[in-house]
Amino acid sequence: MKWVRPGGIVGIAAVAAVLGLFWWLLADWLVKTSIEQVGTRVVGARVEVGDVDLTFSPFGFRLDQLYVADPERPMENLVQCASVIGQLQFWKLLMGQVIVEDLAASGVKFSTPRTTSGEIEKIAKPGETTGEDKGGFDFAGLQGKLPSVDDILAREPLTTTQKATDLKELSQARRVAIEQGVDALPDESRIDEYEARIKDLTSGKIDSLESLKKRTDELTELKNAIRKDKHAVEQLRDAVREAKATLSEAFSELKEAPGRDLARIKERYGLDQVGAANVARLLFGDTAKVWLEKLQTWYDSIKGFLPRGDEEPEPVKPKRGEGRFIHFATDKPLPDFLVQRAHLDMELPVGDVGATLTDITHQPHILGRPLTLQATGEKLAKAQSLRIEGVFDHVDPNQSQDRMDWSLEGWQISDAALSQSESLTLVMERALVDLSGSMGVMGSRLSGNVDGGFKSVDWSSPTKEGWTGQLVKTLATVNEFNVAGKLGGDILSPDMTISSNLDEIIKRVAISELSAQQKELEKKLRTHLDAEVEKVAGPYQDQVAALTKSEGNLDERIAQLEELLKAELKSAVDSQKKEVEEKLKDKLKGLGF
Amino acid sequence: MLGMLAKLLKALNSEASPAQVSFGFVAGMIVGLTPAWSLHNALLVLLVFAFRVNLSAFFLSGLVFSGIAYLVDPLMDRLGEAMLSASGLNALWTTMYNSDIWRLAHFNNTLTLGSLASALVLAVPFFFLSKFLVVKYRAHVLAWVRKTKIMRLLKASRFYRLYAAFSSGGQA
Repeated sequence: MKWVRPGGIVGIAAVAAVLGLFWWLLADWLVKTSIEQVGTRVVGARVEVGDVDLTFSPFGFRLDQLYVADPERPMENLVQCASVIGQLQFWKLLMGQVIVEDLAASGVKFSTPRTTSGEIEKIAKPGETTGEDKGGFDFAGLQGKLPSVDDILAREPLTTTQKATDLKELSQARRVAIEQGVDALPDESRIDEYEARIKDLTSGKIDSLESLKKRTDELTELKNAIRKDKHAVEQLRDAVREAKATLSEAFSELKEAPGRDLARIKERYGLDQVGAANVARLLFGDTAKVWLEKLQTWYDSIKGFLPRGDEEPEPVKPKRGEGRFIHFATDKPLPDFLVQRAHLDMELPVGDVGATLTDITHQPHILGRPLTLQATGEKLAKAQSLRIEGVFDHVDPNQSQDRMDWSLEGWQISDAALSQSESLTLVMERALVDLSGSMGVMGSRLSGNVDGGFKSVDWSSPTKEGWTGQLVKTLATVNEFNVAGKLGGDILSPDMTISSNLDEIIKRVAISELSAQQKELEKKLRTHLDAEVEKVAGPYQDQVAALTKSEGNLDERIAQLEELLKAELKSAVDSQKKEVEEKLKDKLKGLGF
Repeated sequence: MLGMLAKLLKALNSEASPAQVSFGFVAGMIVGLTPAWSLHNALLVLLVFAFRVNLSAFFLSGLVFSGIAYLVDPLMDRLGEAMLSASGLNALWTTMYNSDIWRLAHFNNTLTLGSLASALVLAVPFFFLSKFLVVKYRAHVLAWVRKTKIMRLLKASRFYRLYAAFSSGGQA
């Protein structure tokens, strides 16, 4: 006892008592506050917990009334749980690892309404999908409300109008250029003057060599002037020819433009697609899109916790005084956070479903096992059975593979509104559906398919008139059909195609009803476009005629100038030589020769 | 601080065993040099409180060596890194890593291992050195100091009153 300090032992006991008291009084509150604050930050909407109870034996927690608001719809809960009970490994917690051996959540409900908004400061998500329907076809195109000619012309930039404007501007520009060229040309008086001077130079008496040289120089000078004028006339003639060719080409384009415009408008407004209308997409596309968006939201939530292949682990420089943990091989690798097994009792619209998830962690590469999901429901309120199996394998983040298969048999649908547009209200009153499908994500590539068999279908609709009334009548005779959907593309902007044997049935109604309207619209469009061409065709023809005439005049003038250029002094010299020879002969005769 | 120093002087000048004081110095050195929130420190503090180790020496030593640790922890971190990376020790570390208690001791933390190894290597020489100095202090310095004029002046000061107050109180 000499070495033992009784006071010290009492002090240690006192410290332990204070810590125990702190745990008893404050730990529940601290954990509740931490869950709410961290959860709200991670989810992006309010996370609320009614009560938290921490237990020592077994070491764990119990959360009551957990509400996680939907960041996209703040007046809805993404999920709510009546209670969540978890058992943790105490020693691992002391080592900084949260290892939940067993987690049981009961009363799990999705998309439940909230009495208060769960919104926090909104942060825009990068790459947020707009949910744009790439099918580009809706009931507006089928229901007989085709756009009017005026609507199309007001909205669509027409090539015909543009080409007509181009032709006008081109014509004006060429006209101005040619008129300027004409002003610079030698007129008739100048050509007459050239003729007179040539006549003077090439006729009359040349009485000396000086006179001959002078005339030669003057003629050369005159020819240079004529050549210059001829070149200017030739240039103008070429410009006229080029203008004719350019205008002709522009006019040809103008004549082709209405055809192109019409083809483009037909394609854009679906006038060519009625025959290929995807009616299944029209009827089931909205529902499928809502499901796909929900699926994406859930997938994004899960994926947010899983490592991605493009994430390079950043080398973290340890803080001063903290050091760095070095890990060694172990036969029991455990990540920093792990839920070994979680069981959820879910209350879904289709009925109560139990789901078991294993190995939930953000570090599957340490654990070496993927997250698995199994959900089953038998004898449900609105279906015979539901089965979902999924594997989210991110053990190798660079080769992540997620896959989910599901089947829902004997699903009783009632009062499902497929269309609620002004022109068509269509409700599937009753149907028995067997659904099965799968979805896979490799990296960011999505693939999947859904097959649905609808039986004992009853339809109802107040729509009686027009083609939609005809459609309702036709559907009333259909009580069994299949729908197939395919998914592809990037997970952030998936492509979805939906097909059904309903298409053929409904197409027949649509085509007969709409073909007459479309033909009328096409005719009106054609008339309008032709009128646009006609507006510029008249002036164009006049200008081409004028240009042709100008071209002829210019050719004639060039010929005149060429003729003038042929003139030579040789005739005057020859005449003078002949005269001298005659005189010489007369003199020789006088001398008796 | 002044009080703690006075307590230390009292312990040095008292009949307390030099080993008790030296154990306090050594324990304080280990706690001061290694990261505060670690399993071995918790055990050490329990031992220091449960046994008659001089608490003043422990706290003062802990304070001084915390300051020294701040200066030398990059070196100790590198030492721990080298030890944990040594291929010859890999089998040992792997075995320890697979034991919960060793994981709890954060043996695989570079700074914890480096500083603890440094502290343990220094512990034995530091114990004997401090014990030797306590004995020497009592035999020579204390007797000499008591005779100096300055000590006589000090006896009239507030510091001495504090010292005297602790001297008349219970043993730490």
